[in-house]
Amino acid sequence: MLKNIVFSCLLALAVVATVNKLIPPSVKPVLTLVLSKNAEQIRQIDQPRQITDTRHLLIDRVELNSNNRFKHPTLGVLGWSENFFADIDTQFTVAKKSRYRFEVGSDDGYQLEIDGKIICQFQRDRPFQRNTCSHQLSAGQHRLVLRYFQGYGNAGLTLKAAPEGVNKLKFWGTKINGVRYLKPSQP
Amino acid sequence: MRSFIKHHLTRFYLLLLLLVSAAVYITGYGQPNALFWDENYHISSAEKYIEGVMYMEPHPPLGKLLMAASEKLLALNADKDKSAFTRTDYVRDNDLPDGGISYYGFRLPSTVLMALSALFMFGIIRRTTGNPHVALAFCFFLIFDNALVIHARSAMLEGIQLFFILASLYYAVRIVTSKQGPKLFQYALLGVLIGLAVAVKVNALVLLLLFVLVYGVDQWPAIKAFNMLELGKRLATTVPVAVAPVALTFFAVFYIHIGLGGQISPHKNYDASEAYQQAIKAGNTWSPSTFVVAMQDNLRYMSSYADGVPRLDVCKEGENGSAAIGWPLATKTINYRWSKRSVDGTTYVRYHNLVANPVVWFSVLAGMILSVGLIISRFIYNNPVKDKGLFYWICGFSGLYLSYMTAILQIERVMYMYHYLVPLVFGIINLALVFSYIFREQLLASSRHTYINLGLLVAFTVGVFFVFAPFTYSWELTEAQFELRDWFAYWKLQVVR
Repeated sequence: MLKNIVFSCLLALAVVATVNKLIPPSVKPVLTLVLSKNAEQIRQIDQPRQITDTRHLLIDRVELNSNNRFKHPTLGVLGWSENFFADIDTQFTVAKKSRYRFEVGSDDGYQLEIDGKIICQFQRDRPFQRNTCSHQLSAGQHRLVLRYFQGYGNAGLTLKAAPEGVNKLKFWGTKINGVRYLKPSQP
Repeated sequence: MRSFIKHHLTRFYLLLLLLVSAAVYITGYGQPNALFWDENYHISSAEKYIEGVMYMEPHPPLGKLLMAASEKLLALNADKDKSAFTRTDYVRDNDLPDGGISYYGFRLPSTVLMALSALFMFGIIRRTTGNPHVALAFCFFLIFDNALVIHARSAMLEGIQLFFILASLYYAVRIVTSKQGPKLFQYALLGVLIGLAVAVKVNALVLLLLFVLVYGVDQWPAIKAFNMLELGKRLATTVPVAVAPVALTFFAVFYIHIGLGGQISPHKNYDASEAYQQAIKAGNTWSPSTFVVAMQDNLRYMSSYADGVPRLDVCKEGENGSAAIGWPLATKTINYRWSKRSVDGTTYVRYHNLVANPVVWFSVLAGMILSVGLIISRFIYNNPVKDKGLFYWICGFSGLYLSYMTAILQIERVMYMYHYLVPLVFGIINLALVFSYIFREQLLASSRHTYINLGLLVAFTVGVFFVFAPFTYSWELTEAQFELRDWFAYWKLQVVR
């Protein structure tokens, strides 16, 4: 009897472990990521878009750069292998006035816009590189828009931020001093 | 109806196994319609028999002879010019005739014989455990293992060899479990079967241990009484009667191989001796004197080829080989071939990838650990044995597994994960025995819980087989779907982008 129960438990454990491996992973929904497949080759971030397919995803942070792929550490590879745009539009509040540093890593181009103003960008394709820029944020609600494109070959996108006086940059979407993300719009 | 089923249960199970096995192994075995892995070598060799061209290679000829026979019989490429295959030892795409060839003929022996092997497996487990339900259940481990299926559905040697290996095991078990003691002709017939397995690949020599097993049962009273005279007398007759058929079968296969080689290929003479080349030119390939010379040349070629095979180099880019110590955990997988297409920027890849069914492989490993523990508990700690018959069978099959792995670990040349398929089969049988040993009382009492557990284990095995089936049958996968199947980093599955 005991042996049967032990065997049943082992089987159940194995089945649960297998199902767990096979269930597509999920993360805390903090940011809305919109992926748009372009009909034509993308050479520049602000070129006219000819969208053929769109996907809406909820992600926990802008860490989309693993093995030179547009890949989330938990969700795996997102998007397509080439010629697509990615847009992240975040409403957030800042507790007290401070200057914030932003670090964008991208392969290929991107635009980072806060409250309607582009604060840094790289318009064309490139291998993965990081740029840092700063912006003064007053207390209250703000809007951050990150636009990105993947042309062909390797891909990747990261965004980190930190307030003045804090050395360690953290991925956008995770807990950053003074920043509170507002509920993302549902896909 | 109930009594009818009970009366014909074994036949019903055999029919079920045959149907399931055929569905898994044989369906669409001509795909991929392209060469992969060692098919490039074996199809070249098989075609040489069809066209009467002499060749030598590291493996004995039976596998390629069967491939040639089925290719000739099916004649699906009768209108194709395959003569380029005889001018090389490794068929490349540009050696293929326009429009390619059908692979159904060359792959038939391995595929069909492996599908039939499930019947031997059933016979082995049923005779050793005495339980047809357990036998049926563990046969599904043989049928639903992704590595066995992909490798058997090809023009390669393992499927053919495993058929003869399982036939030998079945016959040895049959001899031992029959009411009368082993007869000399049974030793001889077992020798023929082992000889056939060795004539496909020489690693089947591990089966010589079966003679020890049969002899042990044959002479058990004399062994217990330590009657050396009796043991010696029996040994003097059984050794030649058993070993001679192994050698005769092996050489008989080589005789056909040598006889069929009526021409020397323009691309290579395989360092054949002058005497052998003269005999070929004179058309005397079937003469006994030619056989003696050619056999020596073939053995020399096999030996020198083996010496030239490189060692495992894990630092080498794209190394497909792996250390034997990792095989029980299913490392390392091999990407035999792939093709891809892109639709609207999404890449779909068809992988033909050697990957294990982890339920089968991990269970086999667990079975081995349990059986080694059992053996230690008996011989070191003198714990009692609850079923002597099962215990000795566990000793036998664990011994075969460990002997094979010990021998393989001594080999310095690069080896591949599919070299584990032979001990895997020993391990599946051992697992069935260990299961029967552990749940002996429950099985005797027809415990519903035990049979439900067993049924769930089989269902789980089949389910996981289908999870990995895209690698086995070249079904399309996206990168995300691939990643869902990349369970362990040490498997070293390689994504195609």
